[in-house]
Amino acid sequence: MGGFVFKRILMMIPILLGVSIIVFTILSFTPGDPARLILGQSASQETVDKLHHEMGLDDPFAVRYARYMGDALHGDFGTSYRTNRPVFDEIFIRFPITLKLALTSVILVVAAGIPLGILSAVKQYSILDMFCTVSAMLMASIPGFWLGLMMILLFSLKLGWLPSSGAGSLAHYIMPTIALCLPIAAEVLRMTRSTMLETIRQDYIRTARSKGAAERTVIWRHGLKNALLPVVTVIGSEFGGLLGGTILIESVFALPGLGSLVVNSIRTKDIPQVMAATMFIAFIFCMVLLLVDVVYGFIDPRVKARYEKAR
Amino acid sequence: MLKKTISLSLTILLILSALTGCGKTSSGETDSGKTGKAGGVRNDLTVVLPSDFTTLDPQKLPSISEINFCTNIFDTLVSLDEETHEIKPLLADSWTMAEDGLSYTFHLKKGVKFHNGDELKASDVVYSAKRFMDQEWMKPFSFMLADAEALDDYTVKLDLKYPYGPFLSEMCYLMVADESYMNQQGGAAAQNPMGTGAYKFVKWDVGQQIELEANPDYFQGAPSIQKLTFKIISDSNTAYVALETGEADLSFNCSALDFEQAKNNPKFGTDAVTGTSCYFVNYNTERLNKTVRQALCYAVDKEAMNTLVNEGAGVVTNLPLTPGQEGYTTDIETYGFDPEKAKRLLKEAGAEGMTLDFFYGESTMNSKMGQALQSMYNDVGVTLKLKPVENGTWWQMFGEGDYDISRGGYPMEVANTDAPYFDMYHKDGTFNVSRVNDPKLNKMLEDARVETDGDKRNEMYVEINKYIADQAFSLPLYFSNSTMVYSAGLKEVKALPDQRYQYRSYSW
Repeated sequence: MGGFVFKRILMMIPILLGVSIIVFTILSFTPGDPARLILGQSASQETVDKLHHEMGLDDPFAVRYARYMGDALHGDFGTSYRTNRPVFDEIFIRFPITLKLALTSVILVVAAGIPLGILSAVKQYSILDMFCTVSAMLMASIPGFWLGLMMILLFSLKLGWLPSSGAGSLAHYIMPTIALCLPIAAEVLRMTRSTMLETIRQDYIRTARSKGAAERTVIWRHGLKNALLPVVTVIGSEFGGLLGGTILIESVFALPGLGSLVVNSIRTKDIPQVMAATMFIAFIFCMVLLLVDVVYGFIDPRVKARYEKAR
Repeated sequence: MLKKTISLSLTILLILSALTGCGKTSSGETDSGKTGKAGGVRNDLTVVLPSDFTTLDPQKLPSISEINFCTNIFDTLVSLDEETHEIKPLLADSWTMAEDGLSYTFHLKKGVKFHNGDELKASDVVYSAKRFMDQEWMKPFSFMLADAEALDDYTVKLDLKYPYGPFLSEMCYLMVADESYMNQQGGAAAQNPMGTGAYKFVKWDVGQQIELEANPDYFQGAPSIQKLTFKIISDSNTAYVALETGEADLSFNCSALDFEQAKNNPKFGTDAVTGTSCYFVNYNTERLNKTVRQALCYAVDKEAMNTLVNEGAGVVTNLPLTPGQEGYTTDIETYGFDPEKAKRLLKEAGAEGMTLDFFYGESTMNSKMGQALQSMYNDVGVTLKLKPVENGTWWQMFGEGDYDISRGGYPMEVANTDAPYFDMYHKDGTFNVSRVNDPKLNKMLEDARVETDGDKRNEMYVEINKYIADQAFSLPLYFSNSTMVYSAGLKEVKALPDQRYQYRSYSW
């Protein structure tokens, strides 16, 4: 297992390199001069040209990329053109907020989506199943930002129960979390239901039943464990996506997360900030996927055995 | 029976009190501040900020919003009376101009203290003035300064490169920082501003809020509002809800629709005045000749444009000046909406059916403007291709001049006509989006800025305005509306054209 994890971490290097090349290329070939951004519109062209030269912006693309990566490997990702602060300062201010949102959302997704999915599968075509399927469809089709605004109108404005914006206390996270997790919970619910339906028709489930195992054991131990793999994949990639920031929800609830940082930096062409933020998000995403693969191993001994063999 | 009733009511009371307790803590500090004051008088204020600042270094402020914010933490040598447009003493008690207009001597107030207890000395003013001259961001305000020197501890002499008429109005941008503090803090000073102003900086939660507290020793008297919180809310719907729920008390950036709604809401007070930001359609004069420019001016229906882009909230104008400002005149070519005339002029110029591009920074407002222009030009047979780029990219690229038409928004100055005009219409101007390089106009602008007699200067700008309007370098469309929506009960609030709000005058 350890060897597998190590190998996967090694594999992240080409992935991150690839991301850095793509983002750096795109940013380099979009028009505009970073020196102008730093000095402001009132700076004279000579001053701008001087800084342009000092920053090495007139070097060929490959040289600039190599220099950037060289510095990055030494832990120097540069300073933001806008704020003149080290780029990771702002990332680390914002990441906890994004992390809190993503974690609470995923916990809610798991807590709501999986049990309801199992229930609908086990009691297929019951009223409960119908209710779950229909409401899942509804939840999946409601846009999160709209739901967010509606919740603000109801819970902040009409009832006055929850704060409408900001990130001060736990109460600030309730509405954004719900707005974020509902569509994902719906997806997980439907996924759990369909894989579960498939699983409980398998021979080994019949065997388990016929050997006299209690229905609960059959469903939870034999059924769920086998049905869970695709669900874990979905949850993992959604979690990774959430960690990359959620610009719409962040904007509706005035939460300073990673999403708004990336968008603002792109808009102002703050290259070091965009580079660092996208690489950071890519890194986190890879880590989450790795985590998902490790979880696979725990759920499915066959996968674990494969990991061991691969070593 | 009685016992049961009593115990039941006690239980209910207990639950209720627990619930209300929860409510208070969950809705944050502003709420507790509101109810916590004896007699119900509040002394805190939460202001909506539409976007976070990047730096609060008093000599590196990248835009007017940072500058306006910082005037609450820092003071300038002189200040501008918003009503009369006259220059008033602030850190300087009095000043004299040298005969030749090439230097000003300021006499500082004695005993003014920085927030850390240091006394304000002439050396701090010299230090700040030198930084003010060196920093590129401040060039639009400091371009005429040549040198600064301290004559004694309370006297400062500022030297000019050439006599500059509206010099004192530009000194309203020179914020005085503490030399020893700035040197000791280095780069960290940009995140920890410290001046002599009415409010002390407390903390800055990046992306969330900035907190200030009253400076009880402020030399013009302690402010009434003790705690000032600036909450960053970029979405205007969310900001309006925050006002309604009481999470915020004041917003200067409500959408036109929300502002109309707020007018009829007894919870709010509202005020509006014509703002200073003027919006233009800029013709690239290197590519479009006078007749074509004039034709394109006649093709634009400004009222319709204002409705489409601003929901009618802007103030349509023919000049980037408001009555009372230097150079204001009604005696100019105004280019009313006249598509027939536009077509005729285009025919005259042999430019019928031409295709132009419109280069702009991507934003809702600019895109709407582009679409409106597109359809208006289409009606006179001109095809307009939209060429949007990221806003940051636009700022970096307009200097290259690779466009036929672009747009500009300029924060005009209340008491200085030269700075914006020179910037927009002189060949060396830094916001010359129309790429004007007209020897006659260059000369007029150069002469006007060194004229120290106000009346003469006024005459000169009237002439300049006539010339600019006739040449149709750009088409002024409308001024922004400077609005404010605030919790009813907040006193002494008034919308200002330049939005340089001083919170020390507010009270509940």
